[in-house]
Amino acid sequence: MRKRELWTIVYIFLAIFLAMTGYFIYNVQFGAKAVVNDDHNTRKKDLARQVIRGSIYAADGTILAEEALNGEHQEIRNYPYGEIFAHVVGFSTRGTTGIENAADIDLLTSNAPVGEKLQKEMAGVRNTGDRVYTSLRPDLQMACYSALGPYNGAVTVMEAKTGRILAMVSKPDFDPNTVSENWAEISSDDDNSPLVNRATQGLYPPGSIFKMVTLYEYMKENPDTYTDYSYTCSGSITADDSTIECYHGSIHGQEDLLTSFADSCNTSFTNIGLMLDIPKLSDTADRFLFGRVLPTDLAYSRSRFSLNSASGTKQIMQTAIGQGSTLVTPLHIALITQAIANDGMMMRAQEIVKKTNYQGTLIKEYQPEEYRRIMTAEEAEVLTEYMKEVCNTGTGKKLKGLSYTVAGKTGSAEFGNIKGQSHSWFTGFSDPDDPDIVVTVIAEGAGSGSEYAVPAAKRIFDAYYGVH
Amino acid sequence: MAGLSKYFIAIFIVFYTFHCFAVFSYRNDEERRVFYLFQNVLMVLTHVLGFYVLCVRKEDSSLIFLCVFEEILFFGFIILFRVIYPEASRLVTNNICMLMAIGFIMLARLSYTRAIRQFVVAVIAMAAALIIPWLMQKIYLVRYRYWIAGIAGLAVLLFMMTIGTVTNGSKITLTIAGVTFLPSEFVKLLFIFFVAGMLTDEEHTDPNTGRVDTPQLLASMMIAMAHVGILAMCKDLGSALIFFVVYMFMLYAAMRMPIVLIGGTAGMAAASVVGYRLFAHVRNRVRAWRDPFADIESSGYQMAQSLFAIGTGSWFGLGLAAGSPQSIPTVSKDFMFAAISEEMGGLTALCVILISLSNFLMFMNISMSIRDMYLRLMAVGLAVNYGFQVILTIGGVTKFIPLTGVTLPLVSYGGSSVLVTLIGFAVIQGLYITAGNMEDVGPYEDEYDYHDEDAYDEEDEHRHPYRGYR
Repeated sequence: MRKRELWTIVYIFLAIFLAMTGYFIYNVQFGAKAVVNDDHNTRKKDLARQVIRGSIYAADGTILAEEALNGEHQEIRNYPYGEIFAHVVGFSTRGTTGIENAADIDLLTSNAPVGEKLQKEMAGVRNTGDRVYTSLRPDLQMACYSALGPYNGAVTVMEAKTGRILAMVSKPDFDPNTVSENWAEISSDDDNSPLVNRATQGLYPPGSIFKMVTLYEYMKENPDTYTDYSYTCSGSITADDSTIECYHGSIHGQEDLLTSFADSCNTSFTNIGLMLDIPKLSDTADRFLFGRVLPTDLAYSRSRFSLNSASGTKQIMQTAIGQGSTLVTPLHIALITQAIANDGMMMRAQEIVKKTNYQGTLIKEYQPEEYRRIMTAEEAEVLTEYMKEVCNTGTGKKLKGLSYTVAGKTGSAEFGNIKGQSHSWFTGFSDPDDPDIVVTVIAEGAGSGSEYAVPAAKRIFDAYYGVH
Repeated sequence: MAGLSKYFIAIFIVFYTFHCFAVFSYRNDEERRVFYLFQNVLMVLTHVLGFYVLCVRKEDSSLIFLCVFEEILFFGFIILFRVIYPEASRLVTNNICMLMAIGFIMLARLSYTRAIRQFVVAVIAMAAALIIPWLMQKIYLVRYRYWIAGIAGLAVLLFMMTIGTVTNGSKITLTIAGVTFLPSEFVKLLFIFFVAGMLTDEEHTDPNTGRVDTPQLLASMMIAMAHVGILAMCKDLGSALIFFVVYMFMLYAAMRMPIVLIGGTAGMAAASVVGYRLFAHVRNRVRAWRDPFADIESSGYQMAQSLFAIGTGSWFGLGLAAGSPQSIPTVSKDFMFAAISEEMGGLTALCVILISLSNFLMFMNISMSIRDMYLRLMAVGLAVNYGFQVILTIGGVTKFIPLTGVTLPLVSYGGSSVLVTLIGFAVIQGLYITAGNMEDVGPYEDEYDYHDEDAYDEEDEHRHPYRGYR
């Protein structure tokens, strides 16, 4: 037994100890935040006993959520905008949702000056948690809120180049100031499910919105010949005993690919769907994040897409026009639209822009973050041209001739068994040459896209550009 | 005051830990003495401040008595050990007390009754630790009777297999007169004595190579594998793994062949796969290790709670009695490290790792200073046993490796563990004292050559009459 063996043993153990220590240090310093913010972490209550929950701010500096005292001098969480920001800002009085949830640990962390912090800790007084600044704009949020009118549904406004959320509305809503007191009533309302943030968690059939995907796939599979596409719409198409009709019995006649898309011709797109390579379409859906994780901090549902090589003709026909078993969230559609506007690069959906201590000293800034390229810039440019045509001559032409231009797509997603009942969809972005914002609207049961969602989107674009 | 205490405690422990390593840079004994004394002061400050906070926060003044008794125990142990064995390593003694002080604070915070029981065991264990270095002078009595240790250990394990009860799915315990023992802890010591004796028996050693002959080697292997096998059959895979690793490193040190480590590691990998296939609780733990949040309601619950505790505590902790460590199942045993991290902070937890590392390094340092092969190998076995146990428990709790359900020596609750760990530490101290006595003999080379041993032996014989005796 020489010393050499003993040194080897020392080095082996030293290496393991160092690796373990490094792992521990790394996790405490960098890995902890994501873990700590988990909803299952009951220790956040322990933190809340030591820190006064921080405030949440809008982009213009107005307060969206703060700690305040009520008439009986009890500490309460105050939401000045009430139901208008109910879903996206969320609440922290009965569990946590929305940004209150996504930024929970930030709001419960105090980065007050060290001296003051120690002084308060010594005196047994709670420190004040950090401020969270969001990209939300109250003016746009209110425009979205009123644009949705009496309908249930959701509106999302996103900055096209950064992925920052400027507004996010979901209806029906509730008052976050009293959600805890009215919990039994609100949480048991299964007919309306007001607690669900429909923008991120609502699963809807995409209807004709999905034609963006079908169109993309057809162009990708036929890069040299897609402009030669031609089809004569007679109002219906039948294959293997399944029939698809155009919306409200329209007959579009002779069409090329551009007019099929602009007029949202069901029969033509069913025809295209039947020509597609289904496994490749499935890959594309995968790349477009159907059934996948979405780049957002908010609670969301995964979209569903279930076509594969074994799917029958009827399912293929329906899926090509966004019916069938495909389900999407409005946020997912907004993200795809954003990627098209941003030369094919999908950004992370961001609501939180920066974090400061309670006195306003900057702690951390969150830069826009590229998430994934879902198509090439050239492909995005072609899709944009097609979407411009929708708002120029097609189903979105109510958005024509304004001080701004819009590229978009409408959708009328049939649901339930009653013929003609449909959700009204619109998704699009303004100023396609140098895109500004992405607006995605769904109004439940409001009819066709051009009937309700397009005018609603117009009012939101108007609000953004200051047109009255 | 209670609010700031967590910073003070962290600072005390950081200073303490700094001295664990800085002490090596002081060649001057006088300087070292000051540092050791400073460590004692920091230990007392940490312990007293911790208990003060608990008294305030839990509004339980009876904790003051526990605190005072524990201080008396620490002082008694440190002073008596110093008086009886002036040549013992003070760093090891200090570290024992510091780790136990941290453990005592957390235990008093988690469960008063457990804190009391741990204290009682600590009194017994420290009393035993005071005698053991003296007993080590009589080590020649058992030196060549290693078979007794090996067979006694096996017998205990076999006995346990038939009558012991299984707790927590994978621990065999034995209850005698209301006191529950973990026999595998005690067998571990016998096992180390056995392997050390077996692999250094001169009668079976080839004088040219310095390695034991094949029959001796195979016999040691068979007995070692019998230990591991019985423990594995009892589903106590954590202990089985420790026995295996201890044997592997002792064999490597004795045979001086890297193939032992390579083959042993490969064997462990193969056994892990078999264990994974065979045992559901192994699969659960691997699953909880890979993603504790995937199945947070059941198999991942414990791991997730541990990570929440460590993460929420951050560097300075939530403060004693201001977190929720009791939400981690078996917190006072396997997850003590997470509880420390949560309430006393990641910085303190980091220091616990480093103090443990300092113990391991000290043990190896001691083993290198011993020239008697038998005693040296025993020190290596004890060092590896301690170091590996620390890696298993802290690595498991921090999700560095899958959880094995091993306690953190000296810190976690558990009478058998405290008793056996303290005995192990006392044995090391005994070895250190013996080595210290030998150091007067003369300088020894770094690359110690086996052939020269006879020369040393002759020289040593008049000083250490037990050496060379049969």
